[in-house]
Amino acid sequence: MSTPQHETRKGPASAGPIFDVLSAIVRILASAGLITLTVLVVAEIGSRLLFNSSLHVVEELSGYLVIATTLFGASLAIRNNALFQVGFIYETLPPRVRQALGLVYVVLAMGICGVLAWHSLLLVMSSFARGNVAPTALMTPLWIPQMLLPVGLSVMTLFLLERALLQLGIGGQR
Amino acid sequence: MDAIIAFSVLLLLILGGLWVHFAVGAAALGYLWLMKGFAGWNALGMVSWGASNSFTLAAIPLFILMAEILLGSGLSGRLYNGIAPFMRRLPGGLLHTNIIGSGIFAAVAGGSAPTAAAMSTVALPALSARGYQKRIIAGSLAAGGTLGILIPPSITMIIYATFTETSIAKLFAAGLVPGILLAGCYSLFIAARSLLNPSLVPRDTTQLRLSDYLKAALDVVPFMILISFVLGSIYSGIATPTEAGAVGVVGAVVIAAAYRRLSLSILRKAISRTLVMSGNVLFIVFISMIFAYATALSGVGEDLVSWVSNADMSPFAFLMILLVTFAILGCFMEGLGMIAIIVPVIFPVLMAMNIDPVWFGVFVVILVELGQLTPPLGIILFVVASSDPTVKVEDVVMGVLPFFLIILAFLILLIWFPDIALWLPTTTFGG
Repeated sequence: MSTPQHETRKGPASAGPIFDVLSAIVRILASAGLITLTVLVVAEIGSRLLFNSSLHVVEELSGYLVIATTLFGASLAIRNNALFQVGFIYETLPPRVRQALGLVYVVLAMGICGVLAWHSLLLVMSSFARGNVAPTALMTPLWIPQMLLPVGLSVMTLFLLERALLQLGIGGQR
Repeated sequence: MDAIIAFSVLLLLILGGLWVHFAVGAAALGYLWLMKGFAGWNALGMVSWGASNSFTLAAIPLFILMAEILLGSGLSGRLYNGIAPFMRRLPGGLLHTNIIGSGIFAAVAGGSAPTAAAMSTVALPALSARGYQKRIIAGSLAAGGTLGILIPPSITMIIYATFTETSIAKLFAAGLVPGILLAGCYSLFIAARSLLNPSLVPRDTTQLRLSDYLKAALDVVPFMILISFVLGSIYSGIATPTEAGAVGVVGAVVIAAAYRRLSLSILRKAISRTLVMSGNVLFIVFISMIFAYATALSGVGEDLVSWVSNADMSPFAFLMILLVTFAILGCFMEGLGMIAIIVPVIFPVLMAMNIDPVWFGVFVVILVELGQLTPPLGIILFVVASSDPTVKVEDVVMGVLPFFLIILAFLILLIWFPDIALWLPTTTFGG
């Protein structure tokens, strides 16, 4: 497994300002989510220790924040070209083959995200139509947190599209 | 047949260089399509929801963040300097610091890469400058680094638990004794090696006063407090592993602030790195859940049970086959992915053979450790090599080889004496 390169000093390659803006928004949202997650969980422990009572919402909300961290985090990993990858054969291929294969891979990945985004959107619509709510104290209408799935997967698809554009020579290192 | 196609596609795509996540995704969607056509995809929304909406998995970004804060604020250097004075007179000298430092950092980090990075960046340049042989420094650091996933907290164990519905607290307890014993075996080897060949390790003749020792010990204390809070809260039942992760994040922030190493930019960097790392890890889990759904639907696990029982295979033979499989796959697959893909398939066999799932969790984690040390893709080899420009990956490979054999021997020992792993969870949590 190649070591994920976290952030290059120059910043990730970009196919245009729109992707930079999107990436900044995703980073802010995901960071806020991570901080909220920490605060929520600490608050739950505090409440249990000090007042001997649970806040009753932390488990549910943390689950939703995990979805956001998963998909937004993976989006950022795609942007930073840091998704786990086994490169030792790929890197020995001739550049032309590598470029073509790289493009095939990006399109394949977009297809997978697209299928998952579509089916999770169907889930959202079905939850909305049936008025499903979470079996929790908050009784959250399920379509709201479920929206994180199609949204997150779509963001991933967009960053994959950026990789495709970069493969085709559009945009480049900032 | 479908299963063979799906696993072949998976392996081919991974080796071909497709991102591991999407290789798993492609194999999963293909597998479902082979079995049921496009109708096989109908439940994908529900499966995705179940795969990602998890309070337990929240522990993963929290433990990553905790380690990133400690790593980013440079506190591993303090830890190192805190242990070093106590080790310098032992045969093997400061090499023991690598092992013990890794063991302690492993108890605040959930993974091997941060553990190896924490110690290597400090120890590799410092020990090379003192004249220690490079290979043995690199080998001890790489071997020490793998303790990261065995000594709790462990992200690998959280993922194993997610796929097998095993108790994380029990797994964490089960990893502790083997982790300490394995570290002890590493240290014994280092001592023996240095006695046999004193030229590997320079002698330290400086005189230290009692106050120097006390000052050094003070640098280890914050880590000890953090460890006792994080692990203590889990073992005592006050907190779930996820909650312990949040406690750890707060503890890491407090310690970094107390040493005046905390700044907004350090925090921002730690969060950024955590997001990318968590995204990577959680998305592997997410997509592997879809693969696990496909394998469950196909019944390949049950087929394997009947095949194994028809072959009249003993549990020992089965474990040996797994050992070889993991060792081969570990050369080119990432540990988390291996667990997420293989464990759901073989789990029914384990149940049929009455193999304890907690014990097996420890066994698998050590198998993953082996994978982290085997070229061409042992992640720890690269982490260690990248922390000093004069050290090549080959040096790390050669240096780690004897430790690799120690881990193999330890696995056999674990099969013979399962209580090495099971004693602590049994005494702490009961049966």
